[in-house]
Amino acid sequence: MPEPQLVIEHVTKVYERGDVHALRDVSLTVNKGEFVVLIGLSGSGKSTLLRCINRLIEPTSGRILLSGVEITGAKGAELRKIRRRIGMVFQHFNLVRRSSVLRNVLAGRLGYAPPLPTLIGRFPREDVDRARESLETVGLVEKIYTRADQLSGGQQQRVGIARALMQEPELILADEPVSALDPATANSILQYLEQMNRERGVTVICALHFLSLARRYGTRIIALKDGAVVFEGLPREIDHVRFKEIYGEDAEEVEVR
Amino acid sequence: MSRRFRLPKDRLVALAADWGLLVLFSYCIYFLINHWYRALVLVKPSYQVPFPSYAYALTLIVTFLLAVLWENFGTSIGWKGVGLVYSDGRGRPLGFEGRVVHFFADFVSWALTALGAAFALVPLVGLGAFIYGLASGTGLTLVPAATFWPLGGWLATLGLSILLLLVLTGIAVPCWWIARTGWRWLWPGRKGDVPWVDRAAKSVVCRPSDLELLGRPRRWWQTSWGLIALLLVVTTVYVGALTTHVSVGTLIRRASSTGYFWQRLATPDFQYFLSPDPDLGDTMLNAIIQTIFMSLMATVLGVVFAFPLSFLGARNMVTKTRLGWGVYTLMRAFFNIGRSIEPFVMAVFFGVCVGYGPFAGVLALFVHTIAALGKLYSEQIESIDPGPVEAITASGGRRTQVLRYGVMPQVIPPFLAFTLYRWDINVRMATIIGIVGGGGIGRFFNYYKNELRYHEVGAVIIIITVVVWVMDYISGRVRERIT
Repeated sequence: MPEPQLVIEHVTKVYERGDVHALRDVSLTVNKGEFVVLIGLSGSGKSTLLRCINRLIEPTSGRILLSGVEITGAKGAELRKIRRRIGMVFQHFNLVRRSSVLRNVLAGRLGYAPPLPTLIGRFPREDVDRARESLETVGLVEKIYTRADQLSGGQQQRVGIARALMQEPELILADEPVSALDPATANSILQYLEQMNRERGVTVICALHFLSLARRYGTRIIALKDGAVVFEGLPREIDHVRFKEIYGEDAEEVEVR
Repeated sequence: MSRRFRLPKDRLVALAADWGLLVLFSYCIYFLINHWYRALVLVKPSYQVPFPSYAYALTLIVTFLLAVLWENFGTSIGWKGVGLVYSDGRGRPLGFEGRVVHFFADFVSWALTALGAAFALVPLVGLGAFIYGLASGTGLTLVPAATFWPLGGWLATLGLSILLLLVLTGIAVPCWWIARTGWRWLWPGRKGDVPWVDRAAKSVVCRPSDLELLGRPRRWWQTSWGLIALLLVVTTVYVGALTTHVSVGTLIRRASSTGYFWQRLATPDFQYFLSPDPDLGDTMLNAIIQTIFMSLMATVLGVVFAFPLSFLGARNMVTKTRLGWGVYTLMRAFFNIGRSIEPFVMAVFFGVCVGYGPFAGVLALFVHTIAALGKLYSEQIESIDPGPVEAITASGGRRTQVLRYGVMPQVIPPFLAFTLYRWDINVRMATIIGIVGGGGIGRFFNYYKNELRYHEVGAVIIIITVVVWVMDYISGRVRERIT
């Protein structure tokens, strides 16, 4: 019996401005060690769902539990403790472009590091060593003192993954991590996520645009449409008919290898 | 009546603009009348053609009515500026005849009714006042004139006013009705066949882009708004030249006899550069060093205050709560007001507070620097990439850590560049703030100028120019390196 890691119960999000229903009564369970891929058109609520999980966006109603601890309703220090267990990888990397790779990776450790020394830029020695290890994992240790904006898109995303690794996360949320990258780089980035999923047992929830990538990396696929879950199942279960249901009648599948 | 009140905000803006232009124009006309009257009648130059205080109110009312009229004709500058035109209801511009009809429909009817109502109000108010006076038994207190105007007089005025109202409305209502329904009954033979009247009746206010083009659009000098704008510009510049006594004749006549002045300026006297001037008790070198330090102190102190305040004045940092909005608005107001008070004005204030001298100059520059840098800083904070902030929040960072690692690395280099730029400006201002009692080299300039010691003035000008140029150059190069 697999152990449920993340439980989402009836989560709804309404943006008051414009009265947009971004999420409509979404209920999901994600088990430990899964690689869940979220698919759906732009604006279908993928980003909103991911950001509701770590409360970058406040859900309007519903409950979200991480390993039995309620995320919704947590405040202050409690919320930060939960957030630091959840790593996040972003579409546009969200690195500080002017800072060095090391600084950017260390920033992922802020949830654990002592607050006062970090304010003057001091991190514990273990954290610096850990940053080096993380960068080794993503194969970027030789770029450790380079400014982030000198790296290519793929390298920047690898720094983003190293930053998420610093949190020793039990769950990684990836919001279209490869949308800004070319297909070859996209595959290598997803392979890093897959490696973390397989070797460290980190649960991954990843929003993707390309169905071919979703089929290849996902152990389970969840499709959103207009903020509601319209499909939930194994990658091979998505056939032509399902595809049209999710993406609309006019869509054509594009292959990325 | 949706068609009458379409685009209300733009129409108000246009009306304000047109009204303002007409007020400006009427001032110009009054000024020119004065000018020409003096020239013709050869009265003394200070003579003013009488302009009683109620005439100001009258001018405002009349120009307002004229502005409304102008807009109702569809060719006002305000409408052109905001982008409004009349369409005939079928996607074409309303022609000239149509606009004449429209003018009658909208303007004359409304104006006459309003005028009638205004006339009717006067005796009503007076009557009320009279009754109040009778009732209170003290004679009339509200309107003094009414004490010698018996009740009968009031009633007669009231009757006349009501009659006037009826007559005016009597003209206005048919005007409106005629224009809206067409003039069919005026032309019995051409039943329903006055197309431009129909078009005027169906006219709507819309955007120029909503209209289909009828041939090549006319150039600005071929349109009435363009010609009126030209007239306004020419008149304003002419009146401006008269007000500010701009005169090429004076320049030539006076400048040609100032050779001695230029000659002295061109032979600067640097004898007090290193040895103290006994009248001022200091050397020019010390004065210019003091000036540079004044600008440095003002900049450093300004940064100390502007840096924290700028975070409170940045929308993306504070406006999550209502209190935050209040703080933000307050900071913004402070930055804007602080920047709009010139350091020279502040130097006078601070001179009274702490005594005239370099400290007053530093304080004046300091206050201005806080406001100017605060605004630049906070705009920089508002334009940061929100991504890193999101990333650090997501990894469980505290608010202070988000500021330190998500915001600061993004803003520090531009902040440095702004600070250098501000120091550069402060040097420039510090050199002359001494003229109003702020110390430094400006004090020397002021003193020598008043004593007519133009050799020394020449020396001071050269020192100021060199220092400002060098600072400008250095700060420019350093800023290039930073950003």
